[in-house]
Amino acid sequence: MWRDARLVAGKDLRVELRSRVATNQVVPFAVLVLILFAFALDPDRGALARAAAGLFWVTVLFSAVLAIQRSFAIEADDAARDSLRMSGLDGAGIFLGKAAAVALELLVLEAVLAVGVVVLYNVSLHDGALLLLVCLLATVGIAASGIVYGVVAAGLRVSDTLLPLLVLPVLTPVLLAATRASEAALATVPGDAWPWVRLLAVFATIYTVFGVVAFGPLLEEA
Amino acid sequence: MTTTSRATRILGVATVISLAVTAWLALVASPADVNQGDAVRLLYLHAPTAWLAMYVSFGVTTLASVLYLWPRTRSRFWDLVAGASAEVGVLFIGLTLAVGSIWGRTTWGVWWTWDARLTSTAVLFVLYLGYLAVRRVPADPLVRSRRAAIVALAAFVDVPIVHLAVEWWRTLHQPATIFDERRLLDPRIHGTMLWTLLLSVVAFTLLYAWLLVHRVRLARLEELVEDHELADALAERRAEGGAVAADPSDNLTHAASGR
Amino acid sequence: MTDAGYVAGGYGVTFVAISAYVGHMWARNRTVARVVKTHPHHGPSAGPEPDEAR
Repeated sequence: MWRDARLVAGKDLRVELRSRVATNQVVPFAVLVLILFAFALDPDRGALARAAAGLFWVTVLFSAVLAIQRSFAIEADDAARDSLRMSGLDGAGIFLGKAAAVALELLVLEAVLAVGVVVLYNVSLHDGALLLLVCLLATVGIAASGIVYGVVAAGLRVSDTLLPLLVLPVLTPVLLAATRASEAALATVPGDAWPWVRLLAVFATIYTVFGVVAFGPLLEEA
Repeated sequence: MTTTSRATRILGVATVISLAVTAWLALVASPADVNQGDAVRLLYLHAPTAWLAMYVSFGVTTLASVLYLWPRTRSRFWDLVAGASAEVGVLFIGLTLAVGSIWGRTTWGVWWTWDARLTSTAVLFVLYLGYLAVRRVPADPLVRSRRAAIVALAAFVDVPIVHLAVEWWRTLHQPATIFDERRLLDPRIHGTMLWTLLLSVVAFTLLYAWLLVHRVRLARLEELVEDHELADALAERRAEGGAVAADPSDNLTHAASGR
Repeated sequence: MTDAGYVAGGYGVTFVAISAYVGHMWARNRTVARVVKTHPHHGPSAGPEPDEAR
């Protein structure tokens, strides 16, 4: 399972590195969204700095939908999904591999966005270790649940519109928890972050287990 | 050939009568509330639809999905029950939100407030809209059923997490929910109000059962008709193809795409 | 608007929504019934039950 996961993750990341869609399109899109928020919310009145954590995570969620779509789009051509199905790789391994690849891409994206938020929104970092932990847990949860829903929508004609409808409501607790915990890390709003960190951990665990169990059967018919 | 049978006709009559009696009790016979005035009459719609949508409908959908995925109990029937129950549940939860919003406007002065229960109900509504969207995607019935059942379970495991997150979110910011349901179980509550509420729950449960039975039967009939239409189309194309081409596989693809 | 108006609105919305759903099902029911009528062999007696057919 772990070997298969490494293989699939390596394949997905290699495709991303060579095609550069993630770096040339998804990351610029995310930064663009940050700038759009600045236009929508007047930066002078401090609304941006106060809402920084929430805007950061909303941007991450929208970019995550793109990353997940991308993760399945690269297998849409040349019957690559059929080859993956026939490859004899473990379903759980494929799931973990794809989720790990998406999680890694999202972590890179979050690093870029974090710099963007600090620079553009003029917020200061209070607890870097906490923010790192929050990003890690939230990203695992987003990637795991996203890959589960991604394979449900994969290959369908309506997948572009179906995936956000499926995955965004499921991610509402992640958005809530990650935003509150990040607010504590940025110290814009003082508060106890640990319940939220635990919630993120629970979410990540549940959907990783769910994916490990359910991905195989879902891939068979995608 | 319709979805009606003797049993559903009796059920339907019982539903209509109990709903009519509920409406009479709720709008005419029961007194206005001391604090809320006439607005309390919306409770007799809001509470039963909320209860049925959140616990009964989505509970039945989850259970039926599990039964469908379990190899020993797998049957088309459970898939149709899951879909039908979710559809009726979405109708009821939509009503819960609409009536609750109207009620909120009269008692709190706002259409919506980010109260914990309201928020998690809204998220649940969207979750199950997604489930219905998955069911509506055209696909091979077997594939669609399994996919839908897994999506139903994925939505179900999310419900407690959403609930917890929203609960913490609101309680960390504001002291408590505005509307306390426990007050209803207060023995001092007016007797007629309690009876009206109980009858209303019974009436809406009958309505749910009636809608569910019809919806499941309708889905079955529609599938049957679809199958026969496909068989007809295949037969027609075969007859055509017999005169023109001799390659049967070619005809099959034509028939399938001409469906 | 008075409380009575809001109550009437709430009951009205509920009535309309449920009636619309019932009406929608009734219409689909009619369609199925018509197809079965024009193609008499389409009843469930003509073919295997859906469970076995799958």
